[in-house]
Parts: sequence; structure tokens; C-alpha cells
Amino acid sequence: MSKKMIVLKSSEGVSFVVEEAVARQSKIISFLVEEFPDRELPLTNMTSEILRKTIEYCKKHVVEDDGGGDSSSSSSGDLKEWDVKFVAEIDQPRLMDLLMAANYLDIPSLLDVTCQKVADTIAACNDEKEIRATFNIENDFTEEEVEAIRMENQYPI
Amino acid sequence: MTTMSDLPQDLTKEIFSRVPLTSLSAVRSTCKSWNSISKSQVLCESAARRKQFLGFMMKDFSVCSMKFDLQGIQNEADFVDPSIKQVSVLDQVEISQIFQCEGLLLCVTRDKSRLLMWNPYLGQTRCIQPRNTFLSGDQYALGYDKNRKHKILRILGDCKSGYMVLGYEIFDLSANTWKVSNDNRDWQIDHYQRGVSLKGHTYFLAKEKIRIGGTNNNIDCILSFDFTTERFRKLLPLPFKSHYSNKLLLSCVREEQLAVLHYNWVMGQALEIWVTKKIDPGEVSWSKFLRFTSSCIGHIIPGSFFVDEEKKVVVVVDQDYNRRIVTGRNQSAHILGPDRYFKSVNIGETRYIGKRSKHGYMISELCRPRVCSSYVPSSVQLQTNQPVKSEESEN
Repeated sequence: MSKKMIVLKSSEGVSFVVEEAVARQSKIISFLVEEFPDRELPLTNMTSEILRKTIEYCKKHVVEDDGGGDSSSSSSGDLKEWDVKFVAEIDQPRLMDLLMAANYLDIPSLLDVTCQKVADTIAACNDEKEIRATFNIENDFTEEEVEAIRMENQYPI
Repeated sequence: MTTMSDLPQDLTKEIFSRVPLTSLSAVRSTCKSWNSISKSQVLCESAARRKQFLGFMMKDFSVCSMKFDLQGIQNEADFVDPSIKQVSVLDQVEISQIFQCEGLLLCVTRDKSRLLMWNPYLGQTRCIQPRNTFLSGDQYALGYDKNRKHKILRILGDCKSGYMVLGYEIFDLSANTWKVSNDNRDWQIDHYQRGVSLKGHTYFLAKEKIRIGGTNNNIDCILSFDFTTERFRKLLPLPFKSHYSNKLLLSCVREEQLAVLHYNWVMGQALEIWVTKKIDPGEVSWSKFLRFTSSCIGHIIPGSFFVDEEKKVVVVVDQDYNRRIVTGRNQSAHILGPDRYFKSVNIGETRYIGKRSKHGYMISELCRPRVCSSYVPSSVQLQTNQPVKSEESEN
């Protein structure tokens, strides 16, 4: 049985041909496929690079229903390890784009790993200066305000 | 290119819910928007995600925060002593009782002049004045009703009558009023016992007076208070028999299950911890969490404890019975685990208060350390102070 394919188009107009089962991990695409079958789906707010990454993630996570078992053979432990590696290889700005893509396309598991990665990055920073530098955030506090916050938040430890 | 500042607020909140509490100060000082988001979205919502115990304790009449990494218990080389720091926000007042309810702390001042509510996460405090006066035999608890309205329970106990429950009052935090109830029964709550909060209800270890064959018997049981109906509920049974030599303490696991410590010095040197499988104010069932038999327990006078479910250990905090010092006593945290795992950690000394008599100091002239269960932050606002109104009702 040949697998049904669909076409996703990035903001640059690049077309990606994807198995429907892979793309259906996105609840939005799942909905669009049913509403507009046999149509190219334009994803105007996603760059080719991010769309490629998202598809890579979905391909790894697809669970086949036809009992073939080949592509869903990864155990959950392996998959977790793969996820960690997957987000570790992405730099900070692209991670944000991927997080936004997961949110827009409604892919809960991808949203989960990307949010966790950002949270871990925040936790790994030693102080607010490091957080600002890592995430490119402008400091809109005065030195006194920062000191006051520090005093207020000594607890819990 | 997306930056963190471009994320919609619900995504920032989702991320913040996964950031550990130890990053709170850094997150809030990053920028104004993060500071404000972190106040409506609690960092590290789940205590279960944490690698260490974070909680509060009362030590020498002050409130302290306690960080205890129990990862190292299997390997001596990795063991780190707990870090205990006095909370500076409350360092101007002496506190004699603390009670925790889902991220809020209720503190009773040592002079009994007022109650202090504290939300450590938001850094808010609120003072609650008595209707007339607070007494030293009182017990206090904090809970909420089905509409999530927080209330304080004050149980009037009289030390002369063996801490019988003489009646109670409820303080409604949103209405800022005290309500009096005179529902006295044959219940007794020992002065050293403290209530435990689970899902808004409060549970106490109590004794029920039952007359059997002409004699009065005190039966140990669990008494619950329902903040919706503002009444005490049926007494729930404990998983062991009542005995005069029972030493019982109450705590909880993640504010979801009750935990009872049972130590019987007559029936053999065994200390047991039971946790509830099911608990609501009308029903209870228990399972044994740990049975500890070792000569080491001779060193322990359990004062309060907490349970680490993941590491399968119980940490009992109290004064040291054996190691006396001239000006006071040492205090220890004892870690008890399966296979007779036992380790004591010194957590500083407590000093005697009052004057020395010719017999020396009384044990009651010490402030016993008391530890709360693991802390989970809350974004519940403590309404600002308004004048206290008094509203009486007869029940």
C-alpha cells in the first residue's frame, strides 16, 4: 500500500513532501488535511530551516498503525535520548523558532521538549546577567531595583 | 528570528513552570516583564521535579528555610549537610508555631499578640489580630473552602483540662472577620501536636475520650476539619492500636497523603511510618511506609518529621537527647531509611530560655525545632490589611 503524501510549503516557498501520518502529529495539519484534502498547505510563518527540523522531529516520533513496526521501533528510552540530542544541537535563536513552530502547529511533545530545554538553559545561568546575555534581553531595571528584588527573593533559598 | 521577549505570555509561563525555584531571584531580576510573569506563574510548580528537599522550619523561635539534598544518602562521599538560613523578612518577630498550607505559611508570634500570614513566593505578609486575645493553649491551622477562600482555624484549648477542644473560631481572610463557634466535644489535642493541611482540609492527631466499663479511655485517632462547612468531621481510625506509651506525630507526603509516625517505647524499639492510600474527611486507608528497628532510635525523641517518598526515607528533626550542652541542646536531623539506614546530622543548637533553677533547666524551656513538609510555591495573594470585624454566631 503506498503511503499518502502531503505537501507543506515554507515561507520561502520551498515545498516539502511528507507522509501524511508524519504530518498529522500536528493537530493543525491534521485538521487542515481533513478540511482541504489534496492541497498544498502553506505555512507562511515558518522558514524552510525550521520546517525541516520540525519534520525531522515528527518523522522520528511517528507511530505507525499498520503493524509494520519498523519506524516505531524506537523504545521510549531511546526516543527520550534522541529528543535530548535533538534540542541540544539547536542554537538559542532557532530553538525559540522551533518552540513557536511547535506551538503554532500544535505538536504537544515537541512543545514539551523545547520548553524544557529553554527552562534548563535558564536554570544553568548563574545570575540575571547571564540570562540576559543568553536570551538577548534588555535590562530595563535600575541597579537599585535589581538589588531590591534580590533582597526580596532570598527565600526560598 | 524569535527571541524570548517575542514569545506569547502563555509560552513564557509554560517555560517558567519548569524552571527550578533556585533560579527565582535571577529570573525576577532579568527584566520587568519576567518579574511580573513570575508572580502570576509559579516557578517549578511540581515539587516532585526537584532533586532536593526545600522547606521551612521553626528553630529557636525563628522561621528558617531548609535545603536538604538527599541524593547523597546512598554514598557517603556525596553527602551534603542541609543548609538552614533564617528568613530575614520575619527576623523582627519571635515565632512559636508555624503551619503550612499549599505555599502559604501561618506563623503564631511567641507573645501571642497576632498571627502572621506569609507567602514566601510573592514576598507578601499579612498580620491578623485576635478577636480578643490569643492564648497559649491554642492550636492554629490554615485551610480553604470549596470556593478557594482561605480561612484560619483557631482551636481554643485549655492546658488545665488536658488540652480538650473547648471551642473554635474561624477567621475568613477575604471578609476579614472572626466567627465564633462553641462546638466542644470530648476531643483532646496534645499541645505538641500540629495540624496538617491536605487539599484545604486540616487533620489533627487527637484523642477521643470513650467510657468503657466505667473507666475513661483515650483512643488515638485523626480528627479533620472541613473549611467549607466550618465543622469538625468524623474521627478517622489509625492503623495501629492505641496505647498509653504511643508517641505519635503527623506529617504529609506532598500535601497529598497523610503520614503518621508511630513510636512505642514499651512494645519494643520500633518506629513505624504509615502513609494514607486514600484520605478524605470521611474515609481513610493506610499502608506501611517504613518500619525502623535499630538501637539508634533510642537517641531520637521525635519532634517533627518529613517524608521523601522518592528516596524512601524519613527525616526526623528534634533536640538531641544524649548530647547536652551547658547553654542549651544540640538539634539533629535524623535520616531513617530501609535496611536500617540511619544518619544523624547536626543542625545547630537551641538555647535555654528563662532562668536556671536549682534543678537546672526544664525541657519546656527550649524551643523545639519543627519542620514543615516540602514547600510548593503559591501565587495566592494575601489581601491587604483591613480593620478586623467581629461577627459572632452560636452553633
